Amino acid sequence: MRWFTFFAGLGRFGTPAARYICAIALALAAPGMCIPLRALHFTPLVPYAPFMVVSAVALGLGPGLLTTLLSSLEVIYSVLPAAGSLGAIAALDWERALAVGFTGVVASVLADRVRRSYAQLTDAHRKNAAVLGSISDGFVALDQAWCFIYVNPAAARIMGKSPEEFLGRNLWELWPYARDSAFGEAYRRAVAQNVPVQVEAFYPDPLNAWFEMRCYPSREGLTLFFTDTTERRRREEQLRFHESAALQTSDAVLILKAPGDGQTGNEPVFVNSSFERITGFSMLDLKPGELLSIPVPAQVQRDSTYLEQLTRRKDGSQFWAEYTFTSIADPGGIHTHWVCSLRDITGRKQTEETSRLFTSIVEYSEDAILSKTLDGIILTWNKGAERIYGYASREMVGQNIARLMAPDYSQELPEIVDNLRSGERRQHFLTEHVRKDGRRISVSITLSPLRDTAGSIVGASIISRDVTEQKLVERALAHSEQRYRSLAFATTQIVWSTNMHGEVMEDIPMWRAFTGQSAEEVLGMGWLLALHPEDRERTREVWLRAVESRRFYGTEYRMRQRGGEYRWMAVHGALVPEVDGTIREWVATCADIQDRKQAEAEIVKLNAELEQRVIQRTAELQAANRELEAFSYSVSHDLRAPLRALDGFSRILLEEYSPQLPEKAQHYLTVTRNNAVQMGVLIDDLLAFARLSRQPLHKQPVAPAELVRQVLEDLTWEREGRHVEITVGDLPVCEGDPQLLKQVLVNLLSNGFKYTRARDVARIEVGALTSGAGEFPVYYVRDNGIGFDMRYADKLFGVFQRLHRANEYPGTGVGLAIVQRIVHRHGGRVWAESALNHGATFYFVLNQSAAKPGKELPACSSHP
Amino acid sequence: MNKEPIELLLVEDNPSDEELTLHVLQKNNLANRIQVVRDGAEALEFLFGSQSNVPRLILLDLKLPLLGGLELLSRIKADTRTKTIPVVVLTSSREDTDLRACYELGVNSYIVKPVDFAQFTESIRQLGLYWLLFNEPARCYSQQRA
Repeated sequence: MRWFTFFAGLGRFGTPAARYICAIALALAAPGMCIPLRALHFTPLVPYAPFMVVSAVALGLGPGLLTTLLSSLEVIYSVLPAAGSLGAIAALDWERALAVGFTGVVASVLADRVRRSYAQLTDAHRKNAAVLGSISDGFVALDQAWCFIYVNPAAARIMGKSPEEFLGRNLWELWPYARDSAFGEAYRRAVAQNVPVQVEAFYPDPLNAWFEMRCYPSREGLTLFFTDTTERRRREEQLRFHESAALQTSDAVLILKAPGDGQTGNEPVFVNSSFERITGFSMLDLKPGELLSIPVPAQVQRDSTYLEQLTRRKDGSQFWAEYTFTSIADPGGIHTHWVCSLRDITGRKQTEETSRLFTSIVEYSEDAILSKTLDGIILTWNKGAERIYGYASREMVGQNIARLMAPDYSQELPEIVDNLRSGERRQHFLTEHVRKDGRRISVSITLSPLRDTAGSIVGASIISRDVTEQKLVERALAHSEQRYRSLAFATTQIVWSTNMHGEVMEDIPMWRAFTGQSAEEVLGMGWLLALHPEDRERTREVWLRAVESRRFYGTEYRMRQRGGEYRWMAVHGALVPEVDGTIREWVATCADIQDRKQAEAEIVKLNAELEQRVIQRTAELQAANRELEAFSYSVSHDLRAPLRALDGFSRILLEEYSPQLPEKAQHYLTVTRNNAVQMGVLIDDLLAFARLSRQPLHKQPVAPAELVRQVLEDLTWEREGRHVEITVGDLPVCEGDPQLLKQVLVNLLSNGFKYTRARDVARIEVGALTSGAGEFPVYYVRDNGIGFDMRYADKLFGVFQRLHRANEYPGTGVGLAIVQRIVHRHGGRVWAESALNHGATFYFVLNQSAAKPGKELPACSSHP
Repeated sequence: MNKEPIELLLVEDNPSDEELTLHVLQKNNLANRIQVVRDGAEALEFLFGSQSNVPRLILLDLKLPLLGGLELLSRIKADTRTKTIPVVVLTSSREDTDLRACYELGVNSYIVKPVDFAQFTESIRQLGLYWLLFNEPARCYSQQRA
């Protein structure tokens, strides 16, 4: 059979050359079969027949005829060797040979006819098979003995074999499981009852698939159409699962129908129970307009869209939701629905937030926060660490922590590691580390073991704080404290401090050394007892007031020394504020001011004495003044009366007794009278001079020009019968007593007239020198008289001092003394310059500071 | 003594001044009935004593023993009997204090005795003429007293 199939296959598919070669091969093979047959005394021609038939049927007419021809020749030459030649062949043999030839030709022709009709049949079959082969369902045909007679490609593919493997094989042998399964039952029922039967069942190993089987009984047996439904079922199941999941999942699920043409808004079509539970909205609540808080994506993405949004519940409360939007498209790829699942992630958000906070706390902590393995390999390195150590994170992660340690502190490391291994935490231990730039810094370290989830120690977290500044401050503080202590020790003053209420809380050894109080006695307000009883209450009040008002405290009190003697002390206290403004304490000093107090007392005493002395002296002066007044009074009365008598009686003698008196006597009486009158003038001038000292000044603005005018008018008699030229310059207004200033001008001008008597033309000039704005003017009176010798200028202003003889220029010598007295009483000064026979100039100024002796102002002057 | 009322009371302690004053007055016939007292007490006795007198004019020196001229002046001007009598202070003092005090007490005239006798004579003559001849005294009162 196989041979045939081989040749049939060759006949159908082989090239013509191959077919003819096969035909020759078949013809040559035939004699081989003859030998065993000859031994059986079987006619040798018989074997050729099948060869020729096979050749004709399988290979076609041509090869069949060729095989027939060759077989006929072989029979003639091999089967009939005894004949030796053609001529010698027996008639029988010819017959036989012709029979073979004939048979071969007939067989070939018949075979060709058969082959042709078979080919036609095969063609129809092939057309059928093409239909069956093209359908996706599996199709097999079985004969009555349950053997496969047809298997389409789909069926073969589904069952994982080639169609040839099925043909002719028994169904139950090939698929033993089918026999007792739903499949077998269906097959048998279909055949037995001759009805179509449909079944769907699972075929386990080796197919492991679900099949839907439609069984149709046929004339030959049974035809089966079947489909692998595994995938469909899987999908259906998945869908079922999905539905179930959608309904039961803890996530809220919402399905939204996309708006159709001309519509806006997504219409909710489904919500699950979780959606209602989470949001409070049921399907009934959801109208398109009310979905505002659900962030439906504007555009359809290929993948799902994830987003997080703070979402409002039906009750108004809010929660963080994570949305997943998945687009559902119809088979045409058009977006039709959104599946939106949302999950309440408030807890996660909080966790994230907390975690973020923790991260940022760690990251931005001022302190260096790092972690390391037990071997010291750095795992994390925050910004604080970067700042403190100067190393960037990438420089340090993976490095050994020993890199930070100052060389002389490295011996600490093993101990620290040991401590860590035992789970011990170390807080705030101080050490020194080295920065990247080589600078050493003091750090305060807190080391905590890090454990894995199983609880075993795998490393350590290190919090490191740069305390370099703090150390410096502490050192400065310590120095300050020492300085304070030393100062308190070095000073002779008593230094003490109290709490904010003014109570002594600490022993004050210096106070005790001074007062002899015991440590207990000083405490609280006990120190007050060392004060003089008279000072205690006042001191307590001042102190408590200072404490209350938070002001500087300062007072003085007497304090009892150890020996019992009281000494004056000065106390000064200042408050020490806390950073928040409250008072931490008071510090104060007490200084012994006994000596100062004594000195002060003495000064007070001296002052009192001085005052007393001044009073006494004033009284004495007043008495002297009164005496002087009495003296002046008596002078004016008592000295003048005798003169009047002298003059009076001399006159009476001269008038009434002149006939009896010789001429000489009359002359003597005349001299007596003249002297008496002269003395009267002297007394009057002297009294006027004396009066000047007592007379009060009535200062007011004075126009000297007006005074000069009055004086010249009063003195008209002085220049009667004389040629006098008077020039009055610009005389600025000044401040003074007009009466006294007039007296000055009278005296100076009458002097001027008097001492120009010898001149044919007397020239008198009154003027003023002004040195500048604000300065006091210097007034002067100049004459062209006889002048005086500057050598005697110092005598000019003395009382009764005269530079000229009385018989030439009569006078008492009081006039210039009066001028000087008046000018001095105004606080000014007067001076003169002259040359003998060249006139004289008298200057005066009413304010001394204005008159600076200089080149323009003559040196001859008179000061008060 | 004469029963005629005293015309002029001269209160003067200095005998020279008294003599010179009287000399001028008599020389000019200005007063015939002149009473001279040498101190304030005597003057008080004359004016307010048992024989109280009301002269037509009182010439008064300020510097007097026992009772000063100012004190006497105040007594005279304080008493209703004597306050209308013209009082002329005739003194050597030119002191402002004396002048002010006298005028405040109501003195009728204040004359400084000049040292020069010619001036002195003229002063006395003038005051005598004025007060004793030209001036009209408060006559009603005098008559009542008379």
